[in-house]
Amino acid sequence: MNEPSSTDRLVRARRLIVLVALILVCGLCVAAALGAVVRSANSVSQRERLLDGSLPRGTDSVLLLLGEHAEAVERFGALIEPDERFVVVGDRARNPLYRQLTRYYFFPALAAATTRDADVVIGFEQDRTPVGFEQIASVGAAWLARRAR
Amino acid sequence: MSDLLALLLLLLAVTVVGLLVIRACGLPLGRGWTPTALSLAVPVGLLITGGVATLTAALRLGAGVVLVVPVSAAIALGLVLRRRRCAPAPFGCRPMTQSGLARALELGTLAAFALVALRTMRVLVVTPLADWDGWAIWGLHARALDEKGDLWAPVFRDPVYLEHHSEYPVLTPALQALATDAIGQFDTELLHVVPGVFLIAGSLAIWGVLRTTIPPWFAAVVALAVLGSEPLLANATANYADATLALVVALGVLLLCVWLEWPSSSALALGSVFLGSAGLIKAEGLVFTVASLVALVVALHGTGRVASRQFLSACSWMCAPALAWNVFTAVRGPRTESYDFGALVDPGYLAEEAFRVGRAIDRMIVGLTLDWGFSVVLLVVVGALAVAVGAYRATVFLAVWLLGSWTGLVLAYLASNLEIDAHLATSARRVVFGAGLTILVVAPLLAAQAWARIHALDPVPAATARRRAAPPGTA
Repeated sequence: MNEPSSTDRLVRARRLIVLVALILVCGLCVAAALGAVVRSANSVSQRERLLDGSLPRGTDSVLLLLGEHAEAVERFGALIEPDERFVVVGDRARNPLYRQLTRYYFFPALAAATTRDADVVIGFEQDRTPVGFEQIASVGAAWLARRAR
Repeated sequence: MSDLLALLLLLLAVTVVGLLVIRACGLPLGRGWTPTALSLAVPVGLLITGGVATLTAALRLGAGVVLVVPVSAAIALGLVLRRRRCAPAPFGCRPMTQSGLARALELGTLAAFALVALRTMRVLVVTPLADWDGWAIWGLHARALDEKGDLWAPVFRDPVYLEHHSEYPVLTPALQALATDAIGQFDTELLHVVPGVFLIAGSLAIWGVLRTTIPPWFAAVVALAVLGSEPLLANATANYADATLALVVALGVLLLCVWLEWPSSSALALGSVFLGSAGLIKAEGLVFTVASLVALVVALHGTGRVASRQFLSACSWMCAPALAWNVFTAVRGPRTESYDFGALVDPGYLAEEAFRVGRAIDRMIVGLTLDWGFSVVLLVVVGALAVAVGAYRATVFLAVWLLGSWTGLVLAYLASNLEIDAHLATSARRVVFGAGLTILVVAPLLAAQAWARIHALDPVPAATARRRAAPPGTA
């Protein structure tokens, strides 16, 4: 009976490693594809639900809301009618990078450049003090009243 | 004309530009190469058209459809005419025919791909422009390019806008300005069409390239995994450029791996188009490109291919766009000084800030593990293959590329002028997209090559045959 030589054993071990690796690569890629499809379907559905309800395309006015107070932004969001399109930039207060950046941002210039069609821009005072909820609410109420006219 | 029709016509024109450039690179368009050529046409066309739009905007010629599309087509046609006497240079190793079952599997997977693509695009076109960088940097640049048509507008030059990073490359905003010009109005939601098309077309191109080297149905599975990748989708919906950059880099590295295993001028030329454009999408694109050049030199050591005219030409095409952009922004000014690379030669600074290296590596590994767990496992498998079969060119290339690109990124964090923890918290998870995606895309090719090599190199079949043929007792 022929005993396999050490070279043959080594070769077989290498083949086995490559075969296992191939199976692993195939399995991982198939699992990644299946997982990706499921995750994508879920996340797309979530986004669709969010978007379908509150932010349809085609409305003709934009309210740009800038503020650092998450609560204020959230509460003011409730004042917006469901068919209004708006952009919210807020909740940066807990992020130190944004705190650093916002010290140097010139919000009115930014807003004018990016949203020419904004009806109202609620932003920062010249001394960069973040607006509070009361200011947002008053300006927002004026905006809603103007729209109603 | 409806917005959709205008965008489709623009996409058609971009595809024609891409097909011309692919032909100029030497890839055959007919016979079994049609799927590969067609799948590559959209991303290649987008990159060429975006590059031309950047150039015309820098030259103050404008960045509208009427100028950019004809100029892009003329350049592509010129390249085709220049190459018309050269023979086609296909790449890869697969036969162009496959069994009925394999074809059905491929078509089934592509059908799933189409469904996911449609749903993804449906969401992208109604997503509000609300994320910070996507709105205040990329969206702002797109709007300025749309309104002014050049890169000398106040948004790019006035110090007021310094924090909006006017030095950021503008390939994707230029394409968004083109789309805006095509539909006739600036739409903050339709801006997401550009990252969306890159995501879908880039994933499809991965299928097109991979199917020349591994079973086509499996190439389709990999493409589906890429398209459904949650981090890429989230990045595209935020109008960030990281997903686009990752796809472009992964395609470039994949094509270079193909070129290393099956030397074909078309793979190298197309790889150069992708990696050359990377530096026009985001600044770190240049890091990935330089890392790939270093990796090529290491992988080709001793072969003589490094000194070839073809290789040197590819090097220049890869580096020229990003270098030109950096010279342009330096001349135009002002630039946001987010990095001070001069500090990297100051021993005092290095001693003081050395802690950043460990922190950056830690955060990048966490990002890679969280979003690209499959890729981490694949990297381990590919490493085991390299041990089992012996490192060959493509594995050496991938290893050096990963090492080089991560070194470059860590050096960038070391030279950052921002508060390091905040900088890492907001970017480390995104900058590893390129590595995670590239591993996912290249690993199947490396595994298939390892399998082919072990069959070609191992003496087992011959030794077994000899033993079977020998009389008993003579072994």
